[in-house]
Amino acid sequence: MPAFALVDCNNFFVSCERAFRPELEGRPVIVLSNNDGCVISRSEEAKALGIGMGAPFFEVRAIVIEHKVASISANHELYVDMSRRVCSVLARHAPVVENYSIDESFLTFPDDHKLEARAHAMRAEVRRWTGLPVAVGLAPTKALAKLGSDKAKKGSGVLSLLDAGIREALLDETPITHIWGIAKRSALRLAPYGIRTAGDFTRARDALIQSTLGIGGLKLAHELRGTSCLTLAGVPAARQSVTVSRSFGKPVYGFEALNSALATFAARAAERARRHGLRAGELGVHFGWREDDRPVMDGDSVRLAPTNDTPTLIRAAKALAERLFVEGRPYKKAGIVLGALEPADTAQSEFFDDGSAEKSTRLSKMVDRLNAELGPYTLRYGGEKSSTAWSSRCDSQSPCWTTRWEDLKTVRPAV
Amino acid sequence: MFVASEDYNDVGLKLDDRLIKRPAATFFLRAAGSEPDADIKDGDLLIVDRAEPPAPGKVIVAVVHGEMLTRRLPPGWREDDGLEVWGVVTFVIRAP
Repeated sequence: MPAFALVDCNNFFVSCERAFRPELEGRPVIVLSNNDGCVISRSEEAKALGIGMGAPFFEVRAIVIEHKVASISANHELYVDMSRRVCSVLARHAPVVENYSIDESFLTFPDDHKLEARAHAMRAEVRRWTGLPVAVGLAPTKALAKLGSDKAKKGSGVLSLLDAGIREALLDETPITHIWGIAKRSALRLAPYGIRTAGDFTRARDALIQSTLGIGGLKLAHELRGTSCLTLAGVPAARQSVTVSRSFGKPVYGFEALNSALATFAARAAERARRHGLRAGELGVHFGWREDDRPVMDGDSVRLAPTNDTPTLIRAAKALAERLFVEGRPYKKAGIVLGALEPADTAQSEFFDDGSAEKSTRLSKMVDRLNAELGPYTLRYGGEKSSTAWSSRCDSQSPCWTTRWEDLKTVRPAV
Repeated sequence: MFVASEDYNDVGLKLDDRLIKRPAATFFLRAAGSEPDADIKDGDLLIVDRAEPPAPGKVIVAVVHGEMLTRRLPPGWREDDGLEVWGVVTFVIRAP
């Protein structure tokens, strides 16, 4: 029987740092996003200290100091190279490898003969060759393989859900919100029907699932029952929204500075949406600041005629920002969220389409291409910030050990 | 007969073919300090293959108290003697 594996690198960014800095083993380590200082990867020790994923650095600073947490600024060049290495090791073990994200790959095996033992060997080889720990979930479908890899992290690193009995027991103890592709909103819609666990979900009638969650939900139910229906190309769109947000190095007071930060975020978000072939039907803007030493947030959103056009999104963000902005507030964070995403090619064009939308999209695509070829921020839209006054300093980025000759790791003799 | 020059792009000797058996597992490191016993001089470029099995007599990168260090494995070395091996130095590159 054909089978799928999901291979997931544990705490990927932290693990890449540890591969070249063994002194970080056993210590709490966090990796922060550049220019903003939000936590984007945590070692198990850091998780145990209560440092949350996505937390802005200023919120966890006290814990970092008290527990001597190593905080490292992200080095994406290193992570991309290490990801590439992991994928080429995986390709030695499976005929089809699909890189789902920088730290996750789906593998397809034509048969499941002794697959668990093969998966253990593969996992050991990734560790030996790259230094990175991975978790592997094995299952007859991709959605189950994903669930398996999530659970494998807590155990021996490999979890097989190929056996129906093991699978059903696990689904019965898994809350529906832990299932890949089920958002909180979807879970709320299922709750009135008594569907709380993934097991409940698999036993629900098809008609009920389709009427509450649509055809995507029904496919997911089939997958969880063990019938594969997400082909390699047909993985559900993982993103339901695109978020670009930053914590500022120091408080920002002026509207102009805030607006230019938002314009930059809107441009980045639009670029991401275009890269994934998506358009947004909704745009949100949020601000964060501190009041009486407590973090406070405010935000608002608007519906849009579906678009991924940068100038349109920048304009919409500015209109929202004007409404939200309060003079004198020490803004510490700002962000853009694109929601109601849909594939760009199926979106209906606007009723009074004068062709300018298409022209604008072509411009956006050209800017993306130049930025991709010549480095980010080569071309900017009016309003996008050129200085980085609002961005916080990058503390300690590791050298590009694997991609730059001048950055090679040095080793001394043992004696 | 006329042959497009691109057809000959792959002709010739490439050092990578000779020095790197497993690209996914191979890393370059720089020696900081000389070590006559391991034939390593300060500044040497070390080619390290993490997939190469360590064996007595081979030069390795070991992890000792959280630090990566080079050393030659002694004749009596065995897999189970507790030394954490990061990778095996397969080639050393230096200007004469």
